[in-house]
Amino acid sequence: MRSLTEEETRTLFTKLASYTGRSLNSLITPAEDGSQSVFRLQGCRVYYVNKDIANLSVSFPRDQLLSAGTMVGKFTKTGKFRINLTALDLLAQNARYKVWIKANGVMPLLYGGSVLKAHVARFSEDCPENAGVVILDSNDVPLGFGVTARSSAQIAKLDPTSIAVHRQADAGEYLREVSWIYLQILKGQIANIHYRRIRCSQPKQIRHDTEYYIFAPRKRRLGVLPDLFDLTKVDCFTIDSVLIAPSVMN
Amino acid sequence: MGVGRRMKKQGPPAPLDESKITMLKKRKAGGAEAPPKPAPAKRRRSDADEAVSKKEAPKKKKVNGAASKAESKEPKKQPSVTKKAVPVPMSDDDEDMEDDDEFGDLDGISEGSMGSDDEVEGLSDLEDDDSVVDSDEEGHTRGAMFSDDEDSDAEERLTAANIEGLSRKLDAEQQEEEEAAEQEMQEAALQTNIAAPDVFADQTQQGLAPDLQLLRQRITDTIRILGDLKTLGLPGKSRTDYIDLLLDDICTYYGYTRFLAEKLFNLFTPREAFAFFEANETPRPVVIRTNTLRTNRRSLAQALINRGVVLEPVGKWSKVGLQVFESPVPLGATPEYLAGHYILQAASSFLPVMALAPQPNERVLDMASAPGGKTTYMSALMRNTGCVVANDASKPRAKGLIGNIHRLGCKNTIVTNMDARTAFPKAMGGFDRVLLDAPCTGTGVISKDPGVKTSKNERDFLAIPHMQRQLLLAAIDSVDHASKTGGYIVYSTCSVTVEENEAVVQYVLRKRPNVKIVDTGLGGFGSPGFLSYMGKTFDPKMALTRRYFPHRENVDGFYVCKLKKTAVTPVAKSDDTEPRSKGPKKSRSTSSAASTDDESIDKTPIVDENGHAADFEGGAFSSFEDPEDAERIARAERNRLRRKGLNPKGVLNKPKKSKVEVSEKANETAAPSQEEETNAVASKKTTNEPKSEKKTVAKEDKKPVTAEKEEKKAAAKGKAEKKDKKSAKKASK
Repeated sequence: MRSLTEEETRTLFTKLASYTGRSLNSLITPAEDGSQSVFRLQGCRVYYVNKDIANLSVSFPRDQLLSAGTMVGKFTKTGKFRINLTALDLLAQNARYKVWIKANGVMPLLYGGSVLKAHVARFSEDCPENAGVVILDSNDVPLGFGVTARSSAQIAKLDPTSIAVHRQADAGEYLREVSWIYLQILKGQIANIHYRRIRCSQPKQIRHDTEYYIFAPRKRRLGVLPDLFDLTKVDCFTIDSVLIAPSVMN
Repeated sequence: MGVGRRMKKQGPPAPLDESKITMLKKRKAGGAEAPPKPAPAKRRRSDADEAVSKKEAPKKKKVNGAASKAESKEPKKQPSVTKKAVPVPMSDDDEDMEDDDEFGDLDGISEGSMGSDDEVEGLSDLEDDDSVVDSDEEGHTRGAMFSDDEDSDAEERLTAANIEGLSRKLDAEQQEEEEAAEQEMQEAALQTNIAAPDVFADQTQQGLAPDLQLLRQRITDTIRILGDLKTLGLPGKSRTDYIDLLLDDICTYYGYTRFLAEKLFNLFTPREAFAFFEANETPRPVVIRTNTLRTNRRSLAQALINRGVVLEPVGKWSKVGLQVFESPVPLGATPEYLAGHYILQAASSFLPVMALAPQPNERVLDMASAPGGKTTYMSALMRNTGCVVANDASKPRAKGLIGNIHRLGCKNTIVTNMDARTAFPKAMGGFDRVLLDAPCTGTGVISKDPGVKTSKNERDFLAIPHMQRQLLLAAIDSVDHASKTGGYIVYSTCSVTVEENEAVVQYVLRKRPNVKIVDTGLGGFGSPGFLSYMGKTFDPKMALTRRYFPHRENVDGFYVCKLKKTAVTPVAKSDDTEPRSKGPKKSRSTSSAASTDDESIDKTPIVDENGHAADFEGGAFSSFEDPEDAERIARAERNRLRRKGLNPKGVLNKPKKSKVEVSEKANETAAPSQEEETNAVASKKTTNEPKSEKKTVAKEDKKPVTAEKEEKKAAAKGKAEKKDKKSAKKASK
């Protein structure tokens, strides 16, 4: 874990500033109680972490230190910076532009869709085109962030189905971007399944009201599954060699 | 009652004579099946009754009292006998049926006694008849009927001539009764004997596919028999036979391995064990924990109720738990879940964190943390201050942990992927609190993962407790005893076996005399830990630890033990080191934090250093022997070369004479040097060689070192940040 070089800092801050604007300064100035948070690089990932914790974390071997504080994003091999969903808190607190969406737009966003004009409840004023924007629901809960497709003035003229904000990250990624399949069985039905890269295979019997981690063979393509879906109506489905059949469950 | 009243109105009756009494008795006998035995029962009853006064005539007391004394043994016995006896003929039916019968029987008994009440009252009425009581007000008359004066009057007449005959009658009746009781008892025995062989007979008839209904019936039967083996058991069969049978049945019925079934069975009484096995077949309630970093329970509950979720607070013991009864939406994919407002977490896994009670600004370690329910709870309790080090030995699981940590917005965490047994006091120590939710066999969560029923064998029950001991020792060594707010370790498992719980704690209590068990702070929730088990006795404070069972508390089987570290781990204890080795240890404690504990110890290193010097000048050691030293030096050199591969035959070429001598001593020095390499536990530091001493010193002085580093970094960082700001400004422009 090390602090960023000047080059890296510039890249990172340019990226962050597109969402936060001037309030980026509040990220790097010490808080009132004297605690200060800093950006640290571990591997290619950048963490925003309390300085004391950053100092403690040097005790751990680099390959065994997986995370410290909040992960902001990571540098690509070409030196660009990709901001990650986990930075949402950071951005939401300091966001310059925000967009509030209606209840009917929440699930499409969490399923990975962009924000349509019909979903928009409110826009920050004077929002230009192609500006970073944090997406919140009607209760001010941050759900993701993206880039405006139009300036706030232009949006009023759009038709309801056109895209208002291009999604970059949404909270649904916590389910979609994990590296295992996670099954939750409630009342004899699969309530919940998340998957991404599947590691290994171990067929399991499904039990009621239980959570399962299910692993499929490495480096094999999965069958086509929708991103995040409700399986209550599906009789059975197969993830490569792993068969999960609800017949056991009722 | 009516009888008595009618008779009362007939005017003053003749003196009560024997014939009349017998007549009455006979009538009564005809009325109730168990003839006069109720009389004494009533007697006791009426004694208790307010109506019966204390001034009973002594003579009457003699008569009835004598009878009641003699009989009192009888009727007491009898109900119990019938109770046991009656269920037996129904042994082919459900236990429920039997229960019903039992109760029915009890009812019968009580009814009988009630009936006898009436009759006895009738009797007393009759007795009262002598005294003229003709008042119309029934309530009053009755009160008067029981008045003692009348009684005494009647009895006076009774006693004189009739007493002998009366008592004879009573005696005869008593005898009859006894006989009847005996007969009943025999019958009962006979009937049980019919049931008991059934239990064993079925076993032989058992075909390929066991009839689950029958099996269950037999299990309940056997449990019942085990409850009262003396009266219900077959004469030829011992308790072991019944338990064997029961265990076999349980294995077949629930699908446990015999080994595991026996292990779990031994924790409870047969009846409770049955309840435990039953509870393992049903799922525990779904519980979610409010993430107080993002929301509060009230608003979360409101948000979920708006989505149609049926829920209510999990119990008085937790302020953040919500129990979910029904949910039309997938609970693990609601926008609230994704926004990190709650986490799905079993109720039992709240408990260790509540016991640990981490405070803000502390340094806390979670040694086996995935999937992060407890870690995030700790973080929430500390309100994102201080530092939580979350370790997990499995990398994929640690990845899931990171996801949860970020989702719930815990910013004070460090996630590592190390083997906590070896890593922890070594990579980082000085924690205020350590939570060790140890990997276990999972015998408490069989309802979640029924694979445990068959997958765990004897080896697991040796290897896993062994690992748990290592982990717990590491946990204790990682704690800073001088911490002002903490110094606590919480050990928990999701297992119910004693090997993984009390035995592990007992082991570390022996190994680390500087820790003690303290109250978990969970209140009365849960049952106390075992004080003794199968001949092993545990620390008396083991009662402060808490056990949770699925059938008692309706949470997963769980064990929570809170320990407090009171002093540094004594070094000499863990190894065969000389007193000298205390040197670095002590210097650590001086360098770390100045507390009352340290002050007493502070003096010793100074003494030690002096003593250290004195020793060599001719204190404890006699004198230096140069030739021996030379030999040792030579041998060490050879060893060094051999180890480096420069001269593999170095030792072999050595003349035999000295080799024997040398090899003995080689063991001495080789052992410590190996230890130095592994350096598994901080307390196991040997200071035979200056090298290792330096090492340890360096380690102890880590704090100052890191402080220096901090300063340097701060300086460097300052520069970097200035640049940052510049670039930020640029960017914002």
